[in-house]
Amino acid sequence: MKTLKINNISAGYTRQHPLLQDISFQIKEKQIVLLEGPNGTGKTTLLRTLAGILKPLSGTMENNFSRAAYVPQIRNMDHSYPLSVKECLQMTAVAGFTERLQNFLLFFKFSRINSAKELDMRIDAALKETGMLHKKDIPLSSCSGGELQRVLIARGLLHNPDFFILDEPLSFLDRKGRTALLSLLKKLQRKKRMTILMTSHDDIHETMFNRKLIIENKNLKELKRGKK
Amino acid sequence: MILEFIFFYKFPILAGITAGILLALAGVFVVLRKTSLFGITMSQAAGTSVLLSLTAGFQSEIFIMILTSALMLPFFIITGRNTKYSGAILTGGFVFFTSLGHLLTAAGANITNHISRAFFGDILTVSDQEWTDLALPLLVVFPVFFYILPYLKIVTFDRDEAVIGGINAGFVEGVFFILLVYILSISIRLFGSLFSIAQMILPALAVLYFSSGVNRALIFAAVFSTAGTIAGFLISFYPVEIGGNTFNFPTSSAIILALAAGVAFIHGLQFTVRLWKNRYSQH
Repeated sequence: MKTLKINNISAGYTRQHPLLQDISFQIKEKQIVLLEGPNGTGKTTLLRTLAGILKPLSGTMENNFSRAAYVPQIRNMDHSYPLSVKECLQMTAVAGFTERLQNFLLFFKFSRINSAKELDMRIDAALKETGMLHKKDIPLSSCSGGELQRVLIARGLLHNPDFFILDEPLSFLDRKGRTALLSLLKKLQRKKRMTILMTSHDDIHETMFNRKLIIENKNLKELKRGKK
Repeated sequence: MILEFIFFYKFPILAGITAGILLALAGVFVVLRKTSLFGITMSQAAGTSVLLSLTAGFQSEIFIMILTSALMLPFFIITGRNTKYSGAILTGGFVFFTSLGHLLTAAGANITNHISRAFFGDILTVSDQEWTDLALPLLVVFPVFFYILPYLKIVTFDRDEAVIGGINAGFVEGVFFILLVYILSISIRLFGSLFSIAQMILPALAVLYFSSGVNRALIFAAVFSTAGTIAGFLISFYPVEIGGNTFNFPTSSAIILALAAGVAFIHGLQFTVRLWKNRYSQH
């Protein structure tokens, strides 16, 4: 069984002032875990640490998920960047430095995914999954908040992750948009047997998640279902 | 006659176009990364490094690059931390390096000529020797730039996604920084700091508003830069008569003005089209 096991992790930007201290918890496969906490308590820092973007200040992580996908807060994204929806997905398919050099010298290929045709097929499949296929050629700057969120989820799906980390995916969405996005996440969890960890400030109906964690006093507590 | 002019000045023209294209390509990322002020301050730091190397009698490109990097390192660290005062700090750096350059040119005597050359350059005086020693090696930047381009795109757009994908974002940014320092140090030596700043910022400013993709923006920026350089050369070729005096416009300034006019034209055209579309849709 795939699990993410966190042992006494401290996370933050300086050792003197960690945002989270001695956190231990475990996430099992196919769960939807909701992470809550007031602003500034370190939710994003924890997600970025679990995604491998930040190194933990101390403690260990045992992760046997094969690949994590991270969807950042859309307010941190640069909407004005000149990209189409398709290119936003395409650019993540670049191979590593040496692998790319080898591919280029031996096969004149640059992409991590074997052929342009295969890459196009996978992009179409990921966009179809999130209901954005019909908008693949529009500029990213003309996407609404909900559409941008779906594009970023599609970008994550491109590399077949089994662990999806989403930072406030429901912010800037209206009620209808929130319901649609939650249904999409639920569908992905069932269909792709995916584990989902997400943060939110919105009230989410408890049928939409399996566990709820809350950050309090630099630590993590598990809330029992039904409790607010 | 014009062909004779082009043939006679083939090396300055080729050097100007090469440096212009490279600065325009790098400039697209300087603008996209919202580091225009950093790029401008770096150009002044590179100018100061060139002057310091001249004063020290040690005109090595590596020395100039190391010196520029060392001068810019504190600014790199500060702006990397994204402090709310980074704009003000960079502006302080800009005036500091400019004034230091002024002092160094004063120390070298014949101040007017030196300042004029440091700021505006003297593109027509690029010699065959300078073409082979300085401008031609710039061509090495093209393959390196295009090799790091896909990484640069993702690191610029979403650094976190790049890190998750296994890309060493710091390394990519470091390579880009070195390329920019190299291009700037050569360009400033040959054409002055204002030409370099203009070629770095103005093509990106002209094309980013209407380009729907980074690759297209890069192509348009290179074309815009080349057109501006050629237009500037042509403008300076034809003599102008003002108040009974006939004179030729200085080439570097003519190139900068041609680029600026191009930016104004493109933005004006876009504004007019948008206005016309809005009116048309209302009717």
